[in-house]
Amino acid sequence: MIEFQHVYKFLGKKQVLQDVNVTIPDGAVFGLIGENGAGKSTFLRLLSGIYQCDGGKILLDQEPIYDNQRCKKQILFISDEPFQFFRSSLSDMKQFYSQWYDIDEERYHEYLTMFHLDEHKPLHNFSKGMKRQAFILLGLAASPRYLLLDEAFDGLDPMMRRYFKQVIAERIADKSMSVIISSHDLKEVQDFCDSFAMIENGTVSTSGEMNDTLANIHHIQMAFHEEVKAEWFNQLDVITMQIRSRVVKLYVRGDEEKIRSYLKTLHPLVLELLPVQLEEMFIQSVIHQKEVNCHGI
Amino acid sequence: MAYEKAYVKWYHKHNQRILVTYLMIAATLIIAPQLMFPYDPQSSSMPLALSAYIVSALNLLMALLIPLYQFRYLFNKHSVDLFYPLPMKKTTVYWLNYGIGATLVCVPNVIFFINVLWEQASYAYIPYYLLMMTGLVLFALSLYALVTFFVMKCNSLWDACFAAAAVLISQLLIVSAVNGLLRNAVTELVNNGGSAYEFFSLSYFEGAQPVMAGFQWISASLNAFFHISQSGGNFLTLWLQESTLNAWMLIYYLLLLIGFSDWACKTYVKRKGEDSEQQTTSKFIFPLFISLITGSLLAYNITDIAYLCFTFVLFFLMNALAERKLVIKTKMIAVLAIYGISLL
Repeated sequence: MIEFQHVYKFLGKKQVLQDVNVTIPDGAVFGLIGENGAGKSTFLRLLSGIYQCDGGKILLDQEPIYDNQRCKKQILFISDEPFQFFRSSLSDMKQFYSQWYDIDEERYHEYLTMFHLDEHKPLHNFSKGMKRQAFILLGLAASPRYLLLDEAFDGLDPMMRRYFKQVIAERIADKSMSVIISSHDLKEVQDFCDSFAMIENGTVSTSGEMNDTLANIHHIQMAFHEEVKAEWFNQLDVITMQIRSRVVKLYVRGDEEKIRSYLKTLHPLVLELLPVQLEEMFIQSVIHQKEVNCHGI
Repeated sequence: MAYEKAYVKWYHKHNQRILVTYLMIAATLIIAPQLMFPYDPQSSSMPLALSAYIVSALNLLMALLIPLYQFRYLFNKHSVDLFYPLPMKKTTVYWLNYGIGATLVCVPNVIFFINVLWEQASYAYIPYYLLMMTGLVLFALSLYALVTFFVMKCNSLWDACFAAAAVLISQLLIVSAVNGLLRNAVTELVNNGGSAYEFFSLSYFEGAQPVMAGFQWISASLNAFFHISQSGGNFLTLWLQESTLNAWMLIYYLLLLIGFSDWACKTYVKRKGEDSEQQTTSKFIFPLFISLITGSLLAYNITDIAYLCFTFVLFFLMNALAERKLVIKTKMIAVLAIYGISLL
């Protein structure tokens, strides 16, 4: 299990992460979402031992990860722009990684066939998407305990995404690997990940099991016979609220039954509770944060 | 130990072409004088002497270039993403890269020694050649350790190249500056002029610069060989007479090698993964070298206007490299003024 305990990180003078507390269980597909510059890549680099945290602890099975050979052997990081040696091929990079990770040759060749990649072709001749495929393939063949993928699926075509998800699901099913993915494609993250963390302004604003978290957020639309007042909803944990005369649209956090029973006491003409997608939740959360920053609430 | 062996094995395989090319070029340069000049008992030391100077020059060049090659992965964010997560301790990675680099620095010396063994006429002098080689290797490795330390303090390849070049240039400039200052002092004191060397023993000072030590060392050794071949005698006594680089200086270089190797390792371990994305801010790089180079140039000659203009332009260019933009700050003018006033 991986734990982030009160982690702080500065890059130069800028504080990128502050008081991050996250637990990543084993055998999970963990999604990391956030705006551009939120700190997702920094999070993954801290986890892989590239960066050292300026405060707090990052532990793998209760051991600090930074400069720890035993922990780093269990983690493989594939960045958004993977580095390849001058004029190297996929086969050369496989040889490099095989010095430190146990690459399953059978799986490696199986994936090569599945993803139609030429292992002897120089990587600088690959397209951006193919290069990404090549390194994800290496990561999957290496089967580390934790595979970290920074914006792995961004730039892959739908067929390749399907193949990768299928392969990753197989590896998770046999409990040999946990995957941590950062992505801007929230539909993919919702579809694929079973737990997630959302990073906003360097902090983890929301985290937990995907289904449970989304089930705890509700999109509510109501209409009243009079002008709506914002203070009617003070008792609720409101993420965002949009009032237009007698109609209100809310995103609210909390137990559905309790929310419903409270809203009924307001005697609305129309009351609708709709399911929330991850993308909606993300957008509303960002809007709320911007409003907070703007008005200093 | 398995990972260390794996790293060395991978390094050898990945760099095979460049290693073979290096070996071939070094061997060609070192052995060429033996092939170009026929063996002559009267001047038999000449081809080997030329080879020895070539070895010293190669030592210098490799000591400057190899740290840049070995640690170039530190200056690119993407290569840092590859190397830093590897399951090896930072000290291990440092010593592996450093050790491989040190071995490469020694290559010209090994080639030269094999060449010496090939020359039948040199058989009698093998122990003396060994002594000469020991010194050359020590000077080369101490310069290598020095350059490695400064390279560790840099955050970009350009800055590291500047630091390596500055290590070389500043040593030469400091010697010239001291020479210039002492010459001016002698001129003031003696009225009818004179060389600083007539009044001061500068050879120890020059010998303390790794860049110059190798050439001094060879010169002394070859003079001692020549005297022995002409008139016999004890090599060590003759050699000590010729050379100011005696045992104490060798200890100095050994301490330099050990000290800077260890300091470079500590600097490497303290380096952060994000350093490759930041500007070089260490006081050991631009502030130190800009001060040394500018100060030495001004100390050498402060009266010639054209020379002064050149020095000021160089000063501002070095600051432009440090800041990554052409900028003239009040602080720079003040520093130059202080140099000028103190020297005048």
